[in-house]
Amino acid sequence: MSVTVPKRDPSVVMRLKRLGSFHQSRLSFMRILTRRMAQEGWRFSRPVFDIDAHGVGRAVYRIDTPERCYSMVAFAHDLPDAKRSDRVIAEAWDATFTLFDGEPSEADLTRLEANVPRQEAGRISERELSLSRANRSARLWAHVVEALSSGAQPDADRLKDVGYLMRTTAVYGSGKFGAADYATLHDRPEFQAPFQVEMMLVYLIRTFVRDLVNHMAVAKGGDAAVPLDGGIAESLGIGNATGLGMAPFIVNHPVLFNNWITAREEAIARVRSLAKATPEARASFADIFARYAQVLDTWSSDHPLQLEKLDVLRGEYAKAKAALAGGVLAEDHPWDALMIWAGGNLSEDGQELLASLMLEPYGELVDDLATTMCDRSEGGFRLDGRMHIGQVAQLLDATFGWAETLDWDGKDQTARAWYVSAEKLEPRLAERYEEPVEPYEQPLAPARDAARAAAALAGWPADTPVAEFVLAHPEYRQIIRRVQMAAAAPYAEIRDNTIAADMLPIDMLRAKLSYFGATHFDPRSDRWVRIRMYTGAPYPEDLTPDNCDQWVYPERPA
Amino acid sequence: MTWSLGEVEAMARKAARGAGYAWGVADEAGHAVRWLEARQAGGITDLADLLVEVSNETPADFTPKSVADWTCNTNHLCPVMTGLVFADTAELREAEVTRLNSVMAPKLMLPFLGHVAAIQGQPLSVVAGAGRAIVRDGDLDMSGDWTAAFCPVEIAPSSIALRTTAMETRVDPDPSAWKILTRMASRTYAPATEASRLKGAGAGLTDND
Repeated sequence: MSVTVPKRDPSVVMRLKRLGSFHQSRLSFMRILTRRMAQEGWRFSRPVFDIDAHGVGRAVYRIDTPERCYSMVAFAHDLPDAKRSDRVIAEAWDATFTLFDGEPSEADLTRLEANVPRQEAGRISERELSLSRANRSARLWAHVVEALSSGAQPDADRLKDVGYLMRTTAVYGSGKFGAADYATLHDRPEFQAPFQVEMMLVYLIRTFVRDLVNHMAVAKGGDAAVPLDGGIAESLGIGNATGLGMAPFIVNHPVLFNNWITAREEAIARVRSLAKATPEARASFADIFARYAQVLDTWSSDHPLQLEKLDVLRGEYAKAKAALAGGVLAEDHPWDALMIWAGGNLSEDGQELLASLMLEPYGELVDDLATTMCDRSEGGFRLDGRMHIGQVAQLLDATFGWAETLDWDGKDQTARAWYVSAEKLEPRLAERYEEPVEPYEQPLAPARDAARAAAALAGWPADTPVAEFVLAHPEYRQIIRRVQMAAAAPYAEIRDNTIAADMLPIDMLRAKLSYFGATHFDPRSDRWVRIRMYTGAPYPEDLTPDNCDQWVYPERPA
Repeated sequence: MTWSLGEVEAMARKAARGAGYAWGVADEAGHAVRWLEARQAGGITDLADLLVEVSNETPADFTPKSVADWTCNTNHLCPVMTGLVFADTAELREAEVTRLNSVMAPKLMLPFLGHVAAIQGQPLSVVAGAGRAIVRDGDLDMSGDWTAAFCPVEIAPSSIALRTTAMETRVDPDPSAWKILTRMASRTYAPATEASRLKGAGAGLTDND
């Protein structure tokens, strides 16, 4: 097809407010994975489930793809309440996991048992692809075990409020803590799209959690126990608590982030370019739009910012419903008309929701973009030192021109500093003028660096090769390499100040998590967020080509 | 115990930053060490040796004075900065013989020279004291002794054909060199305070529900 509507401009898309309003879509990594699993007929089995009545032991869940096998190795622990401590300083968890490349031997299991429960303090090897841990929802776990053990199903309202039985607090991949590097895996077809290793592990964790709660109910109630109802189980996702560790990722991987954004923007442009929508496509969209009401209905938060956003989004959903009934799709180029209407009538949140939803009828048109979302260059871009300073100045202006007018000498624009704490080796955010962290500042303020580089370049002759400038000013080497990359990767850079006093890290988190396919964003502060993953997804034994994709939108009443 | 190349690159990058290099240069040091280690040519030990020498000094004193002047204030060139000058100006240079009076941990120049050779379409031969190498793009053939703390280096176009270099995916570093990098890297971490522990991560709320 010819794409007649251009992709949206980076200056529109890459604002933090919009990135922080992104929604999952057909191109989310969880959905790319479940489609592949079903289409290729992956087989799932549980060769080991050796867990005692106290919930302690180990289990192995196995996946057979057409060419390979992978095994999740799970360790379940009986964590005393006193040790289920605040996430930031946690050293023990209710369950710990790794994804093993192949079928683990007894020796592998012994090695993993000595390391995986220790998480960051242990070591894994090139046979392991991912490392994760999870804690029970204290709100739900005991209730669900209690209900099932006495032969009853848990209270639907309580389930709806939480949405998961366990919440992962980290899912580590590529090369972390000794795991295999992504570079050693990216030739495998199942890992062509990003984060498929991690998504595979989380999918199996969710299955394990359901099995474990059933197991604990039987341990407690014996013959009186009943298994968790299949429909209820399906409505439960796996929770995730994500903190600041994730925010720098999208700054540190500009080409990868560009590729994610580009894929979705290209998908949006392709659909907007359609001159007509068939009756089937309209019906499909109407169905998905209606079903989305349940996602909105089950999306709750206590955070004032999110409460306000949800309030607005619910109002805009109703507004969009009225506009759809009023025939906004009646004319030529109906999806373009819808986006234009949304641009004039809805917030970023509402616009991005419709942009994601309107891709739903068009899998054949957009799903191929999934394979464009990786970055196999892995940071291989080399600075072009022969480029003239005049051209570098133009590149700086093209991507960061907006930043040159900000007051970089004022405290508001430089209020924050990103750093890594010696204690947890995790990214943190400080108030620059209140905490002594500036010597440790991480390079996560490209806009500031660009503004400073532009000022420094101004004194140099325009026809000087930039190699001379970066030799004299190595402190600008990184930002100049970035803007050269951005020349070919227009969505690589966030078009907002990532160290401003009013910057919200949760916007960066949501941008990334939306691409994973997360739903129910529930910020717990301005810098960490709870989400749900795989809510509504079929479990392995139920996964078919018919239900592998649009499970995000529940068909049955909540 | 082996380490992933991702871990090696991240450690080298942080260590270089901890020793005083700008982040953009530290990025390159990380790439360079990964490049060498992936070719089983070492790199971690060389970076450790280099960082011990320069960590309390001013990086500019080991940096070529200009893209046309291979001298520096201390007379001992930094291999990363020197390698970067070569790489950054690869398209602007003729394939020619270059003699450098003294380069510290010279092996660390090789990844950059590989890039230069790729741009110039011709392998480069590198003689560094008792060390010899032929390099082109991703391929490397290294021999002799590369452990000199510093030595003269001669770089010249070569017509020797290179075989494709076998790649390794895991690294088993020398423990003392790895310890040095770990120590240098730790200089990039801010000491925790009780306030930052809670405030910086945005916690303070229990995550236990």
